[in-house]
Amino acid sequence: METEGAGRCVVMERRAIADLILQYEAVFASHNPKAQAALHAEDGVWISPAAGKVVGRAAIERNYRYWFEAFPDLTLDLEEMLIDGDWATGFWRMRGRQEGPFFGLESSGRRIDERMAILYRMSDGAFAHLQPFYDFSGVLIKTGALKIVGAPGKK
Amino acid sequence: MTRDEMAVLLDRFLAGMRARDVDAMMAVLIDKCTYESPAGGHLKGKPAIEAFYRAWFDAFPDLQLQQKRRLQDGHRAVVVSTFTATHRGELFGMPGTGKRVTFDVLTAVRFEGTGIAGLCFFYDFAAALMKTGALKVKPV
Repeated sequence: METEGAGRCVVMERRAIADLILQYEAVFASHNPKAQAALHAEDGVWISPAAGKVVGRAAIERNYRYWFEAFPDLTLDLEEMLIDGDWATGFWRMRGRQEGPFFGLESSGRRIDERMAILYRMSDGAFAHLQPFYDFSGVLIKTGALKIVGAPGKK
Repeated sequence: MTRDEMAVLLDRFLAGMRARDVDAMMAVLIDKCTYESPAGGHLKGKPAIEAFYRAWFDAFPDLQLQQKRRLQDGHRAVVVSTFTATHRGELFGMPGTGKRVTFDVLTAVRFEGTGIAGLCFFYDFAAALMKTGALKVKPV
């Protein structure tokens, strides 16, 4: 497991970790990439199935902006969280309609509704590591950014 | 169940998976265990889960699962692993291709009574299908 962004290691209290995840959900609703990125450590890492390894707050802010522009009504609803030391997992439901540029696709108007898990490591009051797990390629197919060619198993 | 007892149960389940020993895996599940994954869908009860794993291991007989991190909190746990396998047997109607598949997976585990009561897997399933060739796509 990569744990870059671990230059400092300040253990956070359980309550503070839960509050940070709840704050993540609240800020997400405002679609403010700068405010969202501010919850990450300056040298934080986001391991993204979409963008690969994203390092640093500025790059993380660009990643949020990309998603908010692609899905202007994107919502992320927390269903459950689990905390162990300075690691946590949030279980989320992500919903939105693709209306902006997304992996070569212009506005498809298609909706996505995905359950996802996000693995976090906290340090010094911020996310040092964030890693979502979900069917990202399935999202590309549902929006139309990837098209299925032929039936399964057919050449 | 204590935290250590839950950790032991999870160790046994994961060891069973690494050994492709379905009986060992089933031994730590409670009868009404639920299972959810992109590949298996929503399953209820040990017989359905057992049937899924037997088919899964037929498709990926050299499956390896490397645990990278584990979290435990109350009666729940999360395991982050890397799945690596060769597609050798039928998968969604497609015969084995001999292609290697590797992906990271997060497993959410819930404990109840004396065993594992729930398993939920999160991973990029469509990408895994593309790697095996069971799903063919092209970008727009």
